[in-house]
Amino acid sequence: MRCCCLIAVFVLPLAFRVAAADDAIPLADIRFNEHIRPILSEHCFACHGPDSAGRKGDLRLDVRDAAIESGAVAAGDSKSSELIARINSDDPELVMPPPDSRRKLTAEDKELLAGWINSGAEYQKHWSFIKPSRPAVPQPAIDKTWSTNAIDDFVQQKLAALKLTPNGPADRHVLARRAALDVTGLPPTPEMLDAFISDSSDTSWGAYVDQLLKSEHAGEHRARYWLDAARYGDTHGMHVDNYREIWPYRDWVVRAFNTNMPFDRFVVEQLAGDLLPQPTRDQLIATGFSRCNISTSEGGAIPAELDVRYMVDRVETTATVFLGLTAGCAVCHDHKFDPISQREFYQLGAFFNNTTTQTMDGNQKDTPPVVTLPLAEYEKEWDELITERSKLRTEVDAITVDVAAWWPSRDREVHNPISADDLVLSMPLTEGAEALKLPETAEWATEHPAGRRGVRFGEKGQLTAELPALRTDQPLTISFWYRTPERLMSTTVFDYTTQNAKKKAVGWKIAGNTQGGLTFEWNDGTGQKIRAQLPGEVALKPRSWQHVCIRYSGGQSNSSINILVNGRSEVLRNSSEDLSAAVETPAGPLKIASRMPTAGLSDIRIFRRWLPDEETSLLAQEFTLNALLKSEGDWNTLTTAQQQLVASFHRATVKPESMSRIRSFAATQQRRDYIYSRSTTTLVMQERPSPARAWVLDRGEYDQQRDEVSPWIPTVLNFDSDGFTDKAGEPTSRQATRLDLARWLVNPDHPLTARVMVNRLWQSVFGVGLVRTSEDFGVMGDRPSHPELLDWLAVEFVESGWNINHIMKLILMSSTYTQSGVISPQKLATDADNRYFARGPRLRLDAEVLRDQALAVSGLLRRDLGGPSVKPYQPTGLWNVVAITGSNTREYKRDSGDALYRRSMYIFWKRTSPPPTMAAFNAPTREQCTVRRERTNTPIQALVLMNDPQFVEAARRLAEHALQQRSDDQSRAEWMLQAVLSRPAHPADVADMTSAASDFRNLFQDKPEAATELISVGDSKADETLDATELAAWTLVANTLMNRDDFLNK
Amino acid sequence: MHNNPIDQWINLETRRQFFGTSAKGLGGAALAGMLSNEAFGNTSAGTSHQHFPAKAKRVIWLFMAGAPSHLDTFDYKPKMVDWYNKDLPESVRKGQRLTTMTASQSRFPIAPSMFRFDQHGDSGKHVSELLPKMGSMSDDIATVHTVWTEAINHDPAITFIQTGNQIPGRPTLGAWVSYGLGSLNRNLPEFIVLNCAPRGQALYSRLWGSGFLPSTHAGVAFRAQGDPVLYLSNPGGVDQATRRLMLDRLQSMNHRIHDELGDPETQTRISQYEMAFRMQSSVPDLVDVSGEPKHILDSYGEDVLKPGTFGHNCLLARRMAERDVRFIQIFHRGWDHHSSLPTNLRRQTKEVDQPAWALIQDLKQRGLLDDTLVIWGGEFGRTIYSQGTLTKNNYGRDHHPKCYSMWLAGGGIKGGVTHGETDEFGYNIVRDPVHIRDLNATILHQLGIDHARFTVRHRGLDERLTGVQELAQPVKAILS
Repeated sequence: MRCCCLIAVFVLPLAFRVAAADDAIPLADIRFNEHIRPILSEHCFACHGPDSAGRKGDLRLDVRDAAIESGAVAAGDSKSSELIARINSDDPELVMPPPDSRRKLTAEDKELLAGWINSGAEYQKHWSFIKPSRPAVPQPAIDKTWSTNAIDDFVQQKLAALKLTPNGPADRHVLARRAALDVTGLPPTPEMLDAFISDSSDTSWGAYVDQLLKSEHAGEHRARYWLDAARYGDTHGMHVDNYREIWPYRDWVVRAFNTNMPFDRFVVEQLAGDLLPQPTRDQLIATGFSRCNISTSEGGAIPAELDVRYMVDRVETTATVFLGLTAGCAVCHDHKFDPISQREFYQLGAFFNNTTTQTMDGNQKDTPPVVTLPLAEYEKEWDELITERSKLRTEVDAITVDVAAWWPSRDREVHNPISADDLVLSMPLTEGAEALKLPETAEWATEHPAGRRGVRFGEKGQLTAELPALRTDQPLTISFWYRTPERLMSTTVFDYTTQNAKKKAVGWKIAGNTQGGLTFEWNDGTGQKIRAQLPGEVALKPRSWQHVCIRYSGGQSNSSINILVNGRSEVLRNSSEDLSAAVETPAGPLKIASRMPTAGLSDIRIFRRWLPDEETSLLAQEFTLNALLKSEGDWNTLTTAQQQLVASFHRATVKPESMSRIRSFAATQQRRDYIYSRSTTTLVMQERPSPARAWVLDRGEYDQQRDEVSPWIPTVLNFDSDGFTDKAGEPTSRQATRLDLARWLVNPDHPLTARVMVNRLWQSVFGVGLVRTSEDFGVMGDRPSHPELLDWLAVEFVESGWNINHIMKLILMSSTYTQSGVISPQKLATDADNRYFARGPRLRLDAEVLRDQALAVSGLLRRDLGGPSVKPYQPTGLWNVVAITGSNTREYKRDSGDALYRRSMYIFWKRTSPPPTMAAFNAPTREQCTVRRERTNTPIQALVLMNDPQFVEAARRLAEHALQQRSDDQSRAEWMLQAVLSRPAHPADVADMTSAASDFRNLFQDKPEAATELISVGDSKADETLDATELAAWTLVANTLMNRDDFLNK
Repeated sequence: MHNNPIDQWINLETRRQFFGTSAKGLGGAALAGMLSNEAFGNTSAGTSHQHFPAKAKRVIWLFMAGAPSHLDTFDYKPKMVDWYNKDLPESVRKGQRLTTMTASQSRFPIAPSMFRFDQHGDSGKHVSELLPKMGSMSDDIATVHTVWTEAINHDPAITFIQTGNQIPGRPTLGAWVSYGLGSLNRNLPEFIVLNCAPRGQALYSRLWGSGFLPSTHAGVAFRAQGDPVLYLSNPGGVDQATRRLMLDRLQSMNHRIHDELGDPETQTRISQYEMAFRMQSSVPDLVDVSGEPKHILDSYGEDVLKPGTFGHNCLLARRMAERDVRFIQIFHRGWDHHSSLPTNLRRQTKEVDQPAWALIQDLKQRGLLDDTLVIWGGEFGRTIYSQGTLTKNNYGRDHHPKCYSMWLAGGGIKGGVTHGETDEFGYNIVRDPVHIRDLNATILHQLGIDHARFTVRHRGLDERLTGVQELAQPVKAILS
């Protein structure tokens, strides 16, 4: 049979249909993209495709020249084509695909391949890599009057082919609710609904849609989809999973959609706002997009490994969100199917590999770089401080003195390398330097870098010193030389804590740990503390003396703590990030070395001020300096480093006016910290000045660096675009940046960006995109159901100035959208998933919309925009059961009052334990980019909607309104159903509701305490003027309505 | 309808075949609606992924989060006594990467286990004195000494063993099993997670997540406080009779909606509300252990009546196995012993030894062990050298991914077997390495699934639990 077909093909190449089946494709109609590429990519490309490492037999079939050169394909002559011979071979050694690949070609596949070769074996670029051009709008195929705009003409064309006819228009109430939910994520307000229903003019629908698009809630709703894609969350997402502050980015997204920011600008500001000339604060905030990746500070983690993970995540996110491509495969090898090589992946990675972002997130909310948003009262001062600081910095740098001239007249005996102002404690702990009785097991140290200095402590005993009262909102600097113990162990170096009357610790403490780190903590006597840790990866040197300086600026948060080791400021890890109260710690004993056997201390100095770097560095080099000053050498004999040290000492102590400038500068630093710790911050991107680069990593392993690469875009997507090609169309020689990448993405010639975005807009309305795999427009992704419509919309999008609301309005105005959602058995059989739109969209609402809708119809919803995330009702223990001790998102502290009733997009998103009601309805964890949510239908969802206190409280609130507004069962039922579904009630529903009300009433009449219990659910108080039994009965009626299938669907 | 489990199974299989052949024409939503009328929310497994007859019908995974020391439990290294406080030879460490917690240590002094190892059973297996009960069932279990992984920190490692990938976002083993095999029962989820009281290292909801599989396959985490399943209880003042009344009204309305609009999802919703209602009885019944006889309760140890303890959770796991829950995973935390290992390990082993033993005995006497696969172990092992303080009776151990021990029992596993061998330092594998992917392949194999053929198309790739590239192998040597 097979042979016959093949022979026939040769004899009748033009007229013959390749298969006997009725729907066989005429030879002339065989298209590479439509018919051949799917066969090759499914069965052949894994071994004979773009992946050079995985390629077998040195044969590639994805490139025409290579396929022909190898003899696999002889264009026009399938009989001479090795490919055809091999796929038809009976020899298990020769047949392709090989039997063990478990891939099998159908007879139809084989005939298509032969037919394609016979007709010339023409290749096409994959459809989505070809720039869309605006297709002609087809003539309406079924009903001219049905079409409202071009969308409908394209849709009709497909429907006609499937012998389907579209539905008539949906009921206007249903439509009004559908559009409000699609555009704003909320049901229409009764006022809007009334205005629309009573407006019988032709323009009423357009006016209603415009009104919705203008609503400030439209931006919130559109932002919610974007935040899934951007993987926005309120915690770091790994290990300790502490709070991360980046909600200003979330609010930026809402603002951008609410002002209908052109999408090209929206993309550029998010990917490269920091690289724009003189970026505004908002443009910086926008770059939070690339900071939303999950991060960690897990002890033991290897920073180089994490850097790679973060880079990979940023590339994958960017590729998925803007290109609709799955770049991830190319981390380890050339992409098997799409023409993205491993090298090109890392070239994309290089765009993101050059930021100042600190690798270990420090478990802090404000992992640098951040933008600071001070409280209104400090905003002016903050700006002034920035100016003031740069002025003072210039002045300090400009201080010049003739140190060489001063050198011969120096004082050779120096006791304090810096000013003793505000020095509240000084203990050299050195034999002969002070009156000191050593504890029993302690002894004088012998191997201090400055000779015989310091004390080594033993198992027993400690020293004490008196400290004056301190305040948590005032600065403090503690400087000392520390000799680490013989073995890694927990030590207590300083302890200035006492218990207050409430049995809470108050005061500060410095301790060493078994990882060789050091912690500093302040307890404020209310149970709150701030604590910063020098982590294991920057541990103190074992078994040696080093200078440690801990600075606290009085800012009362972790950002106010600095630890310097040998004069160098280290990156800290934080565990507790509360802002502590401003309290006084009483004068009292400082316990020194209470537990540090074999460890040592010397030269303890405690200042009640914040020492600038100039001074801390002199303290760290005190002994080197002293030796220099004592030495006999001429100025000219000193090395440059020595001269610099002496000059710095001279500035700090000898010349008072220069010191005062340094002190003024330090004061601005301290004030800066004070305001900062009371500010909102948000994570942003910042580029290093050095050129960006990355390395191809063998098998994606961080320590297997191969070739170094520079930022560049995949060849297959390189068209003439600024930043990558010059005027002559040649590649540019200058280093490309993230800004070039962003501008390339929104270049009107880009084949993917516009298609990918309009597809997601379509998906948000119809539940499924024109390309179903909205995350994958590549070779393995689905082909569009309506390729011309997709291209038409993409071109329209670009030509409208990347106007999102324009596209949304086109969609909403179309008859495709406004048709009724009724499903006939025929339509269910032909098109169960509604890919061809013979009916309007009827879909279960997303998690956030379900909750918001319940809040809205019951009148509980607070409609204010933006601000810190909120914590509504959540069953106790959910965070606790997964979180590690010390995580600041371990205990869920529920909010009260208005915060309970904010829109769901503002719910605090802990990524390792997302809000349970959201998760039940398919909200993603936000650990990675998600552009398509699934939509399941489960018993857990039923339990949430019936029993979650939020939904029960909403039902009770709705019942209260019904009872307040109407006095008899019939009109209560009618009012309530109208409130819930935004449409008049059908008599059958009213009958069901009134009889339910009377059943429930009877039940509760016998059990008044049950009625009281039910109406007490939730924080808001029930209207006491209402009869409890009546209210409980109607609460259950409302609960019933709010579980109706048509309430859960749009 | 089909009360006999075998009938249920046949029924399910028949339905699957029906949908398997006709799914394309029927469309996902309709298929989902019809399937889920019976099975617990399992709306997507159109065809069974079983490739050959299964040895195990269900799995109980006793996960020791934080990574127990193999050197103080199952991997007996008697020669180490002579190496006390001597440096680990570089020829053993071979420059292998370390966590940054001990990378700065100047010495790697060997800490021999301070615990006695006793021989048990016909197999003569050496097991630490800390685990006398587990030791006593050596002839029923297969111990693997050579499990290994690449990840060296908790978050990536536990994500790796659970999902086959260190990077979050992939489906977990339980979700794959639920997806591949579907439900055995009508009233309970297929994949249930039991968390023990919080201690030590963090867990993440992704550890029982469904990744890119439909979220109906995600594990349902039962809770020790409040409702065992979130929002299971009616609000105060509403009893089951009242809820029934409400549901009857709701269903009547929903039937009308279906008549009007014809959406099969409405039908599905009607059945899911019924399932939810049934769960409101079946779940409390499942977690109510008051009917258990005293000798059974006693066998699970002194904590058995305290929700959230390992003992209580083992008993619940048995009750779930009886009710044909497909995949049950208990997370017991607090095994991350960087310092003071002896003290901490005594506490941990005391909590798990007796209940794990009791679970095996209880399953055995009910004839359930034959088709229930039980697994014990963590995300990696611990170093032979000490982290921090080292004395004869006190030491700590850092993370060690290159080898560690686990045991498996029941479900077609050969008893009394020790598989694989590590060097005398318990540092490198000498013979028969078992990558965590091999372990996952073995578990799937016992369930009748060929891991290599068990793929799901996601973002253009045929994803496998065991990775798209490396070919894992079931550990045939421990199979009966």
